[in-house]
Amino acid sequence: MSMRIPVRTLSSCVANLARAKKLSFGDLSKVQLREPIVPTHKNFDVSPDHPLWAFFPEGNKSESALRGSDEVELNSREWTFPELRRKSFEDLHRLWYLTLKERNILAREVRLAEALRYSRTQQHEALDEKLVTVQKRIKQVLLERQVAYERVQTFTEQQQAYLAEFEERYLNAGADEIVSYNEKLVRLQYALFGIQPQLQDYNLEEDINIKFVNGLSYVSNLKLKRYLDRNPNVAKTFELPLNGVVEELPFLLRGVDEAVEEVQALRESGENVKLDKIQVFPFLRSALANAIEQEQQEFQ
Amino acid sequence: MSWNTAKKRFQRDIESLPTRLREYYQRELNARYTLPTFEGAQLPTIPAPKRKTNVQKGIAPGDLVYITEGEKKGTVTSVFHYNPSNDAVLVANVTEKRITPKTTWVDNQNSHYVDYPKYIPHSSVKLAGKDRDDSGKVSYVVADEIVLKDKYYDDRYRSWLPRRFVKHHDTIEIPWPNPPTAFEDDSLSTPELAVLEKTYELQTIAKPPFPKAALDQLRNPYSRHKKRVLSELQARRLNSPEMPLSTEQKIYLAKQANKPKKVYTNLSEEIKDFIGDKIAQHVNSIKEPAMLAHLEALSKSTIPDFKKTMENIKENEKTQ
Repeated sequence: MSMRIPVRTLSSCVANLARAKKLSFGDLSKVQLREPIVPTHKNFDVSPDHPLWAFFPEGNKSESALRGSDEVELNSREWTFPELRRKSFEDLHRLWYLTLKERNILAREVRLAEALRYSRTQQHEALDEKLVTVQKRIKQVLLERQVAYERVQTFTEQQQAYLAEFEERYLNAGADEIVSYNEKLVRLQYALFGIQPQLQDYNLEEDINIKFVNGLSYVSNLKLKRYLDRNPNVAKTFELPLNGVVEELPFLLRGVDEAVEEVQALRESGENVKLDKIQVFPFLRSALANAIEQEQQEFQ
Repeated sequence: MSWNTAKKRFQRDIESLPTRLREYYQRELNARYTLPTFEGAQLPTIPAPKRKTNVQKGIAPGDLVYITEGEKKGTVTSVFHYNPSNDAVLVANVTEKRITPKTTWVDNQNSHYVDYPKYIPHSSVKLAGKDRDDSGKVSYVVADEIVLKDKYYDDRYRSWLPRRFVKHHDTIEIPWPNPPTAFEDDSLSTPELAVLEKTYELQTIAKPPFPKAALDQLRNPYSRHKKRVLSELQARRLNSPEMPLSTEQKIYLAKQANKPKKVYTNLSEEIKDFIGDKIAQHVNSIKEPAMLAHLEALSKSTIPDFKKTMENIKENEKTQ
């Protein structure tokens, strides 16, 4: 690449850039000197909302950048395991970040102290050790829950045994007991299958899974069995078993009488198609979304 | 703690060295970086994993102790502080004359030469308890050794503490002293009601206890214990190296390779008869019943090589 620039171009540039008038300072005796601006932090304002205030113990009200060793508050103790075990994940999550924030403040102060050659930071480190203990315990508590959850997934035999026993009790329950048994069933279907008791609590993406489908089939068959036991007239005409989730879902959303009628109507109209496996989740999601929408409209 | 790990990478970690070396470096450090007049701590430091807290040691600020060694031997004083890194205590009335640099001067100090509190090893004090009888006479109980038993919640310390007993005297308990300053709620304390409030109850076993994304923060997905592939070094450690062969070994192996393969065949009837005759002849010549019984038992024992040979013969017959 050549660097040849025509001289003519340069000279024209010079002509264009040249000042028309000569630069001068005017009358220097009339110029007044201002107070010199001292380079100090007091000369600029920091917004009280500045996010870095979170690195100071009292936020934007902090007086000094570094607490002395007697100002570090060491009176409180760590959270214990039994206390943490009572707390929900959301609480533990919040607690983790509150702890982390305190640790960040301490780390900043110790770093500053190092830079200032200020060596009395033992109190800061003692407090940090307490906070680290809290963080370790939070992790431990969460892991305990996870391990328990993973182990219980292998207890399929016990779960089946309990479901069979509950089925027997439910079918034999008297008319005065059935209300409490229905409440129990709502708790059971949430406990073992994750079927939410309230429609508005559903997270359609996560809650509709293989367990939900299993639970749906258990609950609908249970309710139907009891209903057919009590109503022999219907039992004569009603064909068993229920044909997939399309016929099972009404038992979850409505009362048994209405559900049976709905299933019979479905069968008459020929809409009770047996879905392929791949169609089951999308069908349940859309059907539940419709039901939730309907409920909201009724509520308004 | 975690904030100066980067710096620690380039430091010599004295605590990880063997005891002798550690002492040597400690001495060298003291000699090199402190002026002889400003002597540093003389007590050896204890490596972090072996350190114990004052509760584990059964000593707390405010305790009475009986000094067993040194200038103040035989006196009872109170404890100010326990230092876990040296296993040493700071007690009242035990001081040493020291020359202090001006940077460490406190208010109203006029001289470099001052009485300075002296750390004495924990082994040279014994825990003492104060006892006052009905007539008001004060006596001290000195525990040669103490044992820590049980646990109770101490409201003064706001924590669970073990009880201290004189060893072999389970009836003599030495209670923990009052803490020098009362514990009061500070800005980091959580109100009791908030702590005790129960916000978690297991309602379902069908759902994981927390969002899936949080699990990677709790368990390291890249842990080396979860790797299914061995590194080269690990594989080398597990397998012994292949030894090089000597010349003689090579010659022997070459000869073996040239030899025709051994063929296993059944014994001919003639040989069987011959062996049978020989054995019968020998057995008939034996008169001692004990020897006969021994041979009888011996004949029943199986020899693994015999089984192998029989299998080889069968294989050979199959191939033919």
